[in-house]
Amino acid sequence: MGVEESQGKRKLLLSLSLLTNLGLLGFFKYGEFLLENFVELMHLGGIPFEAASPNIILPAGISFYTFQTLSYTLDVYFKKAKPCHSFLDFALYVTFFPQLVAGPIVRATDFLPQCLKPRRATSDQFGWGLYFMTLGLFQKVVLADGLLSSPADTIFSHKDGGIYFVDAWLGLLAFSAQIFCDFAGYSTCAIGVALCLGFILPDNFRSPYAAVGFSDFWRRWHISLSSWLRDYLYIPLGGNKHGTPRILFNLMFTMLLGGLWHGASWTFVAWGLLHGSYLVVEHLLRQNFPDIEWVKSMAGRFVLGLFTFTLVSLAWVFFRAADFPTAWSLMGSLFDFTGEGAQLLPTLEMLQVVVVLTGLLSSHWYLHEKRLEHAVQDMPAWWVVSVWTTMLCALILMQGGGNAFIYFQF
Amino acid sequence: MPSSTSSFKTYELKRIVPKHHWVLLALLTVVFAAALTLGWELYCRYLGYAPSLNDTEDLWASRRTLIDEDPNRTVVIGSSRALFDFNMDVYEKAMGERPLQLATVGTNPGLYLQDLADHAEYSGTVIVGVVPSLFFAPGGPPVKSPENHLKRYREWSPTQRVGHFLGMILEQRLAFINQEDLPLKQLLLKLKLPEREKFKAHPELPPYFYEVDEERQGGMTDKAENDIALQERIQQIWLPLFKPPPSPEGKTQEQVDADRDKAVNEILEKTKSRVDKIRNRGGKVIFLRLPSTSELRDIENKYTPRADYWDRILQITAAPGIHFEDYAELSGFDCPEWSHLSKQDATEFTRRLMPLLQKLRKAGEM
Repeated sequence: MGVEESQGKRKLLLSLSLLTNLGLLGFFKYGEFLLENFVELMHLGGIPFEAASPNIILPAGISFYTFQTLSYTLDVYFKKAKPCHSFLDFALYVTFFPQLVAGPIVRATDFLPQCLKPRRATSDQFGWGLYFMTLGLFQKVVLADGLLSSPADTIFSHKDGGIYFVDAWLGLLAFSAQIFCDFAGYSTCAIGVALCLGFILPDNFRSPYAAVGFSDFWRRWHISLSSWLRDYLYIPLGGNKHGTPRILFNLMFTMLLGGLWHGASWTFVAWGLLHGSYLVVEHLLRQNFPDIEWVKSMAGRFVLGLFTFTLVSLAWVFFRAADFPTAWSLMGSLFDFTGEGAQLLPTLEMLQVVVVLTGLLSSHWYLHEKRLEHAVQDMPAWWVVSVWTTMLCALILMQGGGNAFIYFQF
Repeated sequence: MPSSTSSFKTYELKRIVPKHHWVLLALLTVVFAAALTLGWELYCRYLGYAPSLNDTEDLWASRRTLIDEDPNRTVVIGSSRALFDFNMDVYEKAMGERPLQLATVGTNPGLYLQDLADHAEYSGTVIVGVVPSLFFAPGGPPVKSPENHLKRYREWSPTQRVGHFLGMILEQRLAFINQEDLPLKQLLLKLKLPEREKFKAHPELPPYFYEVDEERQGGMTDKAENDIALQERIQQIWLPLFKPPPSPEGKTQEQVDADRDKAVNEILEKTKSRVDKIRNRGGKVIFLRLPSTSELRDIENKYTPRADYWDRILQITAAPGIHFEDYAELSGFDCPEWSHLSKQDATEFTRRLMPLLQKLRKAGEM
């Protein structure tokens, strides 16, 4: 594709590559889902069709490396990148172990140039990489698994009737914090390991829970996926050109596919559509009310930030719930202020959620316009050592026994 | 989805290293963390903890795999009494083969029996420890526990195996690695914060009071055998655990009794079919009722009377069984916390059990 001059042949090669990549993803990830829905459709039409269970095992991280290889193909096709002539370099790009199973999704144009010379981390890069790894493990093992997973699991696995609204909200907020700490923890570890090996990976999170608005949220959450969707789907669809109706369609369509990327289930589609709706409403509000002053003030931004976080958390209901009945039941409990419903969370877990969430939101607000690197650079050395030692000791005290990363399933 | 009209890679790839002497900071962190960990280790030892293996699903899986290598081995299943009170050295000396210990604490052993019944080649002897309130538990933690252990065995990944063997090296050397009492989550529980009135707390589980070795030979810790205050605390924890849960709202006592009888009958039927399956392949099954004492024994007699539970197991399965109260030599042991024997008594109890098992062997029943 890189050397072929004939446009027809280039298109054919592109189609072949896309078909192979998306075909594998479609078979492994969406095969059972499509079959289930086909059977349902047959039943709706009165046709008693039953399919044998295909028992497809989902290869770990397939969504991540498929998107990496797709980005390479598209970059080469659109002549944004030169074809890679070394199979070893390309194989390393696709299978680079630190980020293989859960991202960040790395672009070929970012990674392959780093393969041109042997990589060797400087001693400071190595030390900073170790700090990143400790931070990532702390987020995952101590915060996500140790302090947040139990209240979130309790609330989302409750089947027998309503939940007292305080417990429902704390369980939901626990999941909001858990999924950030779990996923950002993996990305932080991956960036740290890569840095120790002398490679640079892109940021995947930038204080997302301090986002003011949903387009801001998606500039900060799972950045490598949202920028991929923007660059390879949203913009080719027309992006912000071609008038408001088209923009709104592009936003909804992109987020729908973004939701489906996370998993073969209608609950993920609902999550994507909810985020698409948020973006559509935000776009219309920005278009129709461009000069409201109060939203630019610190207080206004703070209120909007909290509002954004609340709506993002509400969308997580569909992301985390096993099915729609569970999601609707939890939604009902969240807004049932009559005082009815089961009190499911022990005081200690409620306190854990409040403390971790307060710390998390505060740190996100503090790092709202600042990179972590700059914040650490401004710290005195003894403070860096204290924080590092605390994280390491907390990890040792947890004694393992944690869960797999949530994003491994995608 | 960020709004943009520009195309292709609109972010910047760079990674700044904050200006600190990172190697020095890393070394200082390691030194401080090591010093604090050492201090914690010494404090834990001062509190009476000693290095011991965690009784994990991985350790259980490592033993379960041995059945696949030798499907004729004698296997012990059941709950904590079978784990603590059955001494494998004594059994080996008397019976000439080393059994596999697969009993797990707080467990309904039904699923373990099912696992052996479903094993295409298993034809050994299964010794089933029976604690009626657990054996007839229809669900909840007593069933969840064997589900989790079996799942770990069936899906035991190479990473988990390596993690287990590395973990064992540390557990055998460090007292603070103790999953029952000393992980951060357990330490936080010691705050004992007051609960809301309507919150239904799970019953408290006993603190760390037993240990296992690589072969999962279990036994009480020295501290549990000698610390009267700890024994009394565990005794009070057993009492609510051995009583039936309160009736669900909206159900009469008759409905609750009918549900319980139905569940008991179903479990008995399943047990019979599992036992038959093992016997049809040439295997044997023996039920074993191990000692409990004092107030706990009274509660067991009240809520799980022998005639309705133990006797029915033997009657329906037609398998042999040994109840500690049927033999003078097995009675009269003192359980320090009413539910388990001390290590020394467990050895003696097993020694006295052996002639009974040998008799069963002669009769072709094991």
